[in-house]
This record gives sequence, C-alpha cells and structure tokens, in this order.
Amino acid sequence: MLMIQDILKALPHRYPFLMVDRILEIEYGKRGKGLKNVTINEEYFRGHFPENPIVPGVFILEALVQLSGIVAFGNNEKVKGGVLSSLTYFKFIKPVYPGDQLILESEVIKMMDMMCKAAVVAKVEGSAVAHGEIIVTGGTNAFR
Amino acid sequence: MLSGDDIKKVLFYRPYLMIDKVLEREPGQSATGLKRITYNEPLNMDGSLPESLLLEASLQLEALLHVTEEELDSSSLNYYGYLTSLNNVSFYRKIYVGDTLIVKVKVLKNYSNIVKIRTEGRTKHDLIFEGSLSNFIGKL
Repeated sequence: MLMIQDILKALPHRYPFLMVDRILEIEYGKRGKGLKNVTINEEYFRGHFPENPIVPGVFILEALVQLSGIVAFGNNEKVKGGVLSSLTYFKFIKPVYPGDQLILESEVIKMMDMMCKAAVVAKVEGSAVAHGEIIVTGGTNAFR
Repeated sequence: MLSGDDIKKVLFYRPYLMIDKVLEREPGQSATGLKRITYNEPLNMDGSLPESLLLEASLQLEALLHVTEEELDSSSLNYYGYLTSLNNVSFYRKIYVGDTLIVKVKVLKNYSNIVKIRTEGRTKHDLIFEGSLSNFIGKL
C-alpha cells in the first residue's frame, strides 16, 4: 500500500491536480488498484454545478491516467508519471457525487517502451462508473 | 439522509465544508455524518488534517441536526451558532488523505439556547477523537 507521501514521490502532479489519494495494491508493469475520495471542498464543484455537484467525467479519467502512470512507470528511474496519449471505448456509466469513494483499477495490456496501453475501470461501492482503454506516455515532456 | 444539495443549503462554509453526507439523522437528537478526506482540497497540504478542523466537522454536523424538514423545504434558515465550551476533548490519532471520517453527534442537554453535545469521530478501524462541546444557538 502506498500512502500520499509515496504518491507525491512517484507522480509530478500537485495540488489541485493530484487525483489519487492512496494505492491499495500494486504490481509494477502489470496492474494496480487505487483510491480517490470525493469531497465537496474540491475546486471543480464550485462551478460543476453550483446547485447540483457532480464530478466532471474528465476528472475521473485523469485519476485513472495518474494511477496508470504509477503502475506503468513507478519503478522506472528515468520518468515520473505519464500523460494521456489516446483513449478508446471509454464510457461514463453513472454520475459521481461528493461523499463517494472512487476505487480505481488499471490493468496493463501492453508495454511499448515509453508507452503503456491499459484497461481501466473506476468503481463506486462495487459498481462501475467509468471504464475504457487508455494509452499513457511516460514523463511529462513526451510531446516536445 | 441528506445529500450535498441540502447540506449546501444549510451550511455556508466554503471551502471548509466538513460534511459530505448525512447518513442518519433524528432532528434535535442525534446524527451521523461522513467526510471523505482527499489531497485535492485546500485543507490538507501535508497529507493529514489539522485537529481543529475535526471539531469543525462536529459543529457543522450539529447545525444539520437542528434543522427540521420544513425548514429545509422553505429554504428560509435564520439561525447562527457559536462555540461556547469544550470539555474532555481528546485526539487519539491523526487522520490521513484517503481516510473516511465518520462523525457522530448526540445531544445531551438542550437548554433554551445552549445545546450540549457529545461527539466522536472514527475512521473505518480507529477512534480519532471524542469529547463534549456546547454551543450557543441564536436567531437572526
């Protein structure tokens, strides 16, 4: 299990854009399970939406990308975390509200040097809220 | 059970809202509330929550406890509250990012405008804090 202090070492992301709170299980290069708590104090709820707070879908996707970044490149000394390069078959099934706990899961399908293809799913209380396939590229300056 | 909408109607603390969901509520008697702790909020930059904010969770839950159903519907709330005393408050453990705080509040005595409560906060496995508080409740 990785606590937030370890996640801060493994990822270059910082407040207000670090979307993984804890890693519950991890096998580097294979699969990982993470946790993200959703609370009403988060910045995006001020506008999305003032009367009816729901988590923007892209933030769920970002949480899954960050988890996949740790799973794929957490034991790689050259790069830290990853950025999203591609996504397919991505679906958002249910809305996520403040007070929910997102359980994030990522399973690597293929590693290609600095690129990683992974099947990801986000769950709330056991039922999937979003799933799909993503490609994450290692490091934050991949496109320069 | 109260959701985010109702809570925002009653409490105007932002970005210091310390209750995400009210799980159980018996108006005027007792309540149980829940707060998810995440890194992505402006309160816990070092990975754990300051103790004073834990008591704030109890106070905010107490405010939700006194609200009646009619007042929630009419959206004309005109109460305010002040903390007047703390007794035997102990903090046993720190609470970290990724934990879920479950707060319980029980009214011990209700004088005309001073309310005495007993409160405790837990995570899934541990007792985090407990104590007694009293509050002055006034009408605007």
